[in-house]
Amino acid sequence: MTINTITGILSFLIGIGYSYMAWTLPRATVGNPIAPSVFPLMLGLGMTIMGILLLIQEKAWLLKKERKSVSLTLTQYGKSIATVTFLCILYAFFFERLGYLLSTFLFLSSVLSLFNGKERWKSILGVSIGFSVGVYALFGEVLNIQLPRMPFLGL
Amino acid sequence: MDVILSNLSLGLQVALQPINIFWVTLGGLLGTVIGMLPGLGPATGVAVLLPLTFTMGPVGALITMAGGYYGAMFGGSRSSILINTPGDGAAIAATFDGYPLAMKGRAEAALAISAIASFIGGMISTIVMIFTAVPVARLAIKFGPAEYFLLMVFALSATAAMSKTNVVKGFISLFLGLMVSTVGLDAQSGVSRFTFGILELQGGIDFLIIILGIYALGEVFKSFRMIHEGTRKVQTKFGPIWITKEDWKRSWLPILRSTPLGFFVGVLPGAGGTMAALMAYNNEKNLSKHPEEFGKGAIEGLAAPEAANNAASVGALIPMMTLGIPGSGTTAVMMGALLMLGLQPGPLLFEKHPDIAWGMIASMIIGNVICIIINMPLAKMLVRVLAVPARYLFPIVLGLAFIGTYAINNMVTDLFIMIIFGLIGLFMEKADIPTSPMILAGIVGGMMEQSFRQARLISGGDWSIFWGSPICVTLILLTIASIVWPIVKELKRKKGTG
Repeated sequence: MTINTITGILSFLIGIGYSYMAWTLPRATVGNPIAPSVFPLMLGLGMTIMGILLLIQEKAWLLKKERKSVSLTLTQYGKSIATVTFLCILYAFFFERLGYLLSTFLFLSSVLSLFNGKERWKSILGVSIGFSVGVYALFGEVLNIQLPRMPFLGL
Repeated sequence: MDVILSNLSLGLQVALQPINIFWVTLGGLLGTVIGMLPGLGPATGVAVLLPLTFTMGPVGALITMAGGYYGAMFGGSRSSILINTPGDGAAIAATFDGYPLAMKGRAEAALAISAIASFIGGMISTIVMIFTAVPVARLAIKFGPAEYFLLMVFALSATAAMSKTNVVKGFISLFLGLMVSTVGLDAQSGVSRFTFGILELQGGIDFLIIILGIYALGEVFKSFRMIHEGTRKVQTKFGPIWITKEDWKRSWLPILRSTPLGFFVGVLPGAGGTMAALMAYNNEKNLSKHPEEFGKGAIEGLAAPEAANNAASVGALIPMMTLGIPGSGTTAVMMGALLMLGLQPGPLLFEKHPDIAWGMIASMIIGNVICIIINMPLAKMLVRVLAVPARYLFPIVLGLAFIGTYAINNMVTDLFIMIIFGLIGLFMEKADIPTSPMILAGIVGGMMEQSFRQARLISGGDWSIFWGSPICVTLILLTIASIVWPIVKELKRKKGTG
């Protein structure tokens, strides 16, 4: 399966699903009862058609030449993207729970050590501490936006 | 004429306030630095500047962002010239002759001519903008909801159709953006749409979060390859950054020719700086008596695209400011920020808030002067940031994306939404789907639906209102032409090669 086939199928499914949701929206109690659904229905229809068009295009091209299909094995980049995404989710999860300073320090130092290797720990520590403290101070002192504090130290 | 002069003097009063000079300098400086860094374009630059502008007030915010925008246009070519890596898409053309010039030991002349060309391109375009903004806004006020709806249809389909890969993919991106804009409580009927029962989605998805997800997070994901590169070697010792008389003789006409070209391409929806720069380059190559020198360090081959891309960046501000319809990713980001500050860009902006609209336009004159200072005498210092390796830079951009998102509503849910859109951006990159139609559609989607429904309300549900006036018919024809033209061109090209 090529990436275009996948995109075509996804667009088709999104179009159908979205249209269904648009059609089953609760009717408006004021004005034209289907007014909230009309525009979304047009979008759903458009998306469905685009999905089909992409599939047809892909089929027509496939007849002419072999195309590279998508492999499911993760490349090295894929692996680091997955790791960073996981770290991002953890960061978002702990953003308020641990407070800005601590969660940002932990997030940055782990992403930085992923890219730089542990032997550069001095610069990693410097950048992570500098960034988290700098941003915290900038927002708190200059912009007057209080970022989440640490639960136990109140920082 | 008098009206324009009085508007301009009002604008200058605003722009010359010390605090606003400070903002435009800050914006220009940060924009130049961000523009220089490969992988971070003007849209990302303006997006990460966003949280800084939250407490500035609308005038300061707009001036800072505009400074960041054209600062990035100036800065983008620094890295094209010195390390053969464009800082943003529009600076690609600057690698063709800029890098060969630097290799010949003429980096100083290359840096100087690109800054001078950018300055002239930006300045002339700003002056044109001063004269055209009000007439365009006046024309737009005459538009009824049906015309407005069709204008947005035209702008969006032109953006989708002009995307370089595939028209169908451009439209997929476009519909996705429009779909996202329908999430949340429907303002007219109170019906909750596409929220999946999630309370936080009732207010809709803030478009700035999507922008940060796609441009900041997505860009970092896309650029992972660069992370394992070593430290780049950057020339840090320069002679005086200036050009010879001979250089100027060869460049002045190409600069003046490329400026109007860039400006018009910039005003058109979807085309933007990259296309303007490439068109100007090819145009000069065709006109030149020595086309064989192009690509080997012809100074006019650097001057022309640089003038064109700065002119385009100014031109792109016109539809955003006067019609409320952004024509590029970066202007969409700026519009998102304006909406957040409670300002609706569009024809009424010039009537209701002339100080803001004209303050920004006047600040562009000052900003251009500041940017040429930043990019010539100070360039020697600034290009050192190019030595910062990607493996430090990208984690910091991630950090900025998170804090920028959180600062919008102080909600952790937004952080998760941003991560999701970062991944969507990555998938779109892999599938070769352009992201800018989605960004534009998302930002005008709400207005587009409102105009659509108003038009149907006025006509009592009669669809013929959408082709009932000459303006409507013109817009429909333009829309069809904008879709058919790229397809025909593609078919012709295929026939020619196959």
